[in-house]
Amino acid sequence: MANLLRERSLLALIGDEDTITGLLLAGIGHIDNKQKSNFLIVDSKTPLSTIEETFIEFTRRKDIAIILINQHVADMIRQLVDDYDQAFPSVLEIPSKDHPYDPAKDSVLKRVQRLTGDN
Amino acid sequence: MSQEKLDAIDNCLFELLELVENFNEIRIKSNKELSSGYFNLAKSKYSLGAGAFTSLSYDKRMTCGAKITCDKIDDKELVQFKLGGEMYEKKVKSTENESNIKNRNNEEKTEQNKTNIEEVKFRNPLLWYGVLVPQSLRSSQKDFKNALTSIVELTNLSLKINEKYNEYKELTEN
Repeated sequence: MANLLRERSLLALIGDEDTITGLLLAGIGHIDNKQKSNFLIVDSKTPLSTIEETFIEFTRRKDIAIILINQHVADMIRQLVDDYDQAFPSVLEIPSKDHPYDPAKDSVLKRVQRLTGDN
Repeated sequence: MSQEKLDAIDNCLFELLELVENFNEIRIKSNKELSSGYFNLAKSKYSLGAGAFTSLSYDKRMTCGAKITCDKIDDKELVQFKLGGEMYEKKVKSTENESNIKNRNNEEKTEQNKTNIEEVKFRNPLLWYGVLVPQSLRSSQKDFKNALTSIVELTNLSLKINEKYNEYKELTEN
């Protein structure tokens, strides 16, 4: 278990171009020897199936510790994100430039809301 | 249901709500940092031209400067993430350099130093956009770095929230 955790050292990101550029500036970008990157740029032309496949691929990769996803992209694959309940890699939704953060859609807060009976 | 169990449920719920409050506070902080980062990035786009900031300008040999380490908290299953890597660890001046200057003729040591330099592959992403980048781009990088630190804190809190959630569920089900 400890060895498996030690291998998880990357942050993955699914989001729009501005979010990706910003967080790559912060140093999260990584492209390995097989030209496999740890980010996916989503624009209006990106098919839903690509987003779904990439999300599933990131959740299965052994070198990723945290998956960051723009909230508006998470909305596109809401069922997948809400059903994901593994601790590793952890999934966190972040706001994008054009879509402000909405706490009502956040999967972490939604669970707590369900528990306290607010929803 | 016994009084003790009711108290345990109350405590668990109280702790859970406290975690959620922390989560919201850090979320507000990280959102501010991100929005400031986006704003500074937009400023840089204005001064360098929008074409400079497309995915085509990314270095295809990039390596990550932000690495996550997973620390396991004793006597608990809970794991906490810690942000590290070349961009987030403060550089400490090594005393070895001084000794190298004094012993310039010592070839072995200088060779060792060379290999150390070759091992470091990480390049600051700012350099993708040139050497003299606008100040706003530097500010943007700083904002995104701060935001990333907050994001890792948020992830840690979300793990704690999930753990407490499961604990609460177990207590109420039995």
